[in-house]
Amino acid sequence: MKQKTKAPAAEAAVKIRRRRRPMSLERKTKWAGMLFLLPWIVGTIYFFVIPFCGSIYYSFNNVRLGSAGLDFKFIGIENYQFIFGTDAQYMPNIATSLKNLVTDVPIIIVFALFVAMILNQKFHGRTFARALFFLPVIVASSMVIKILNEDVFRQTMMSGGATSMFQTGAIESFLTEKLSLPGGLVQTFASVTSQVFDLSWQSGLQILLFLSALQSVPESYYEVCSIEGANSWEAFWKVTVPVISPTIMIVAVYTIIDSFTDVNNPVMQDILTEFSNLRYGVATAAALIYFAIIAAILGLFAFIVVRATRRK
Amino acid sequence: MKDSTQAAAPAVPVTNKSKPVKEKKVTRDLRMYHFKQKIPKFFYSLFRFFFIVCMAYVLLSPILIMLTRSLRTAQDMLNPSIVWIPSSFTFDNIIEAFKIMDYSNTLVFSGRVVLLSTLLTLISCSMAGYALARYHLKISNFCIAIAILTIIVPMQTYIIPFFFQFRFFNFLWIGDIYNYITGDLLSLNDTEFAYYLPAILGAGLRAGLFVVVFMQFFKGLPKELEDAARVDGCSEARTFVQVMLPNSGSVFLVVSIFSIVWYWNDYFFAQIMMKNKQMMSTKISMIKSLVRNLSSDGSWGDGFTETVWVFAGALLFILPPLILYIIVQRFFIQSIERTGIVG
Repeated sequence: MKQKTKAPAAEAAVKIRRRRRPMSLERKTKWAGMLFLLPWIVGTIYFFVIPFCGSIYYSFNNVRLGSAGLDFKFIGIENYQFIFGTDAQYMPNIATSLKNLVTDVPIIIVFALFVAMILNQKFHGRTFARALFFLPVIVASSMVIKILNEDVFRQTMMSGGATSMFQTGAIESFLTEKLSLPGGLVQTFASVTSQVFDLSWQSGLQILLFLSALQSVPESYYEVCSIEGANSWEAFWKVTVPVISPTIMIVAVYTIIDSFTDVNNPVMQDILTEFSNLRYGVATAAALIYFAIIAAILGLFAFIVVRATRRK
Repeated sequence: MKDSTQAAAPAVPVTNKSKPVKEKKVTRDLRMYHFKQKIPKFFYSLFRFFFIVCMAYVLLSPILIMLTRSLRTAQDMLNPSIVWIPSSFTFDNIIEAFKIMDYSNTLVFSGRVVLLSTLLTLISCSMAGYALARYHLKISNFCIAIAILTIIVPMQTYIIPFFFQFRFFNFLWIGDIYNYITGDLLSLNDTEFAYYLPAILGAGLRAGLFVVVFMQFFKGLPKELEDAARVDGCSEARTFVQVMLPNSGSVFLVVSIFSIVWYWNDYFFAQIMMKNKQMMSTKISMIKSLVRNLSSDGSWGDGFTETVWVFAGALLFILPPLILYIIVQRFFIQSIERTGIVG
């Protein structure tokens, strides 16, 4: 840019003296920037773009492991036909994951935001509370959760109770019999409370994201609110939510992806099984369909959010 | 609002006995007003306290369950009256699980892979994030879009071609050269390179996310730092290492903690790329069958020994990241506040 704005005579002078003079600052920094970026570009092409295109190619082929590499045999959409037609497990598994997604994601977002609001206040032992709520980010490995859930499942099979970490049977019967609440309400309550462990262990990172977003809201906004006579509920809806709305979006996307790629997800188990059965074509086709569904959901979600924000 | 009422409180005139009755009444009303203001605040902090205590139970209970199960004898599992406190404490389960998992070897191997991968990820992602934040290259926007795409596309969709890139390794024709010299195909799966090579090229576990985090952080640093370095005749690489890096300890801490934890907890990638050399996560996924093989030899055979051993194994699995977290948690939380992950 700088070179272009120079007078032509000066440019000619630069051309003559180029051999002696070092590169211009603009070009030098550009080269340096490219060098900084180069490893990432190479890695992304070689370990992301090529495998991704490869997996599309694999899904239309019968892939076998030969002695000198892979043998491909083009079979068209047979892999897809197998998944949709023959495989009785795949579609119900997808349906279960989607159902879990619809119920879990809003609960996780609301819960994480609530906890983040509380942790953002000043009180004694706040550091301890924060350390506690981030603990799941560190130790909540899917394998450990699996071990815990399986064990609890086995124990309750013996005693004939519910299959959750926290048993709500007693509270449920109390609510229906003593307070005579409608059955549907009690059922919803029970399903949420029995998942309280899973949900709270899954929302560590979300709490963290919300907390750092809440701290970026300027204090002066709230001062204006209190001068104008808004109570804290109004201040929450008129100030906090609009300011942190990009974070809500990020958290939602993160939660959706996270719940999809969890190893305990039945579809993931299916893909791993197909892989270990050496049916690579089917496994990639299954993964691609799965990704297409995630992409569709994320697209729909982004579309709704964009529409909703534009209307305001 | 609450703060403003608190600030107003000292401004109220201090009551004296000699003051006239009328003024006394006013102060009493004011006191009443403040008292009424305090009631919801009190109940709110009470609610907050109970909420945090309840959540503390929920969040800590898995760790406590692991602890109590792994410290009891197998007979205690049969006794329904024992929930938390075992009748006799024993370290036998942990010692057995230690032996079953071949813990010390697995820990050294896993630890080495995880730490080195994290180090390489830090180098590559910080460089990429710095370039995207500070150099206005023509391809910057395109690269940012790709980085976000790598966050959204799960590894599971392209893991199989990825696997075969290592099974029949031919990056930069290294595989061909190897084939020419030895006549064999170069296969790098089940070696540590399957972790290190993607990591140094910025394609490790969730590297796209780290690139974006670094980018957001470096965007927030003042431009003057860089200009000052440039005026003083500092080269670009040296500017990055000696000017930028000393100011970005917090983001490096956050990213390295996340990277370590995610590499440690990852099961899918380890299961496919390192099936035969065992990472800790593969071990813990197999611990049930490992224990079962042992107990089918004869002497035990009952499910309760199995349970206490499995739980001891799980405890051993979460122990290293837990210790790391306890050591760094204060800095970690401060750093997150400073980094502003979302930007």
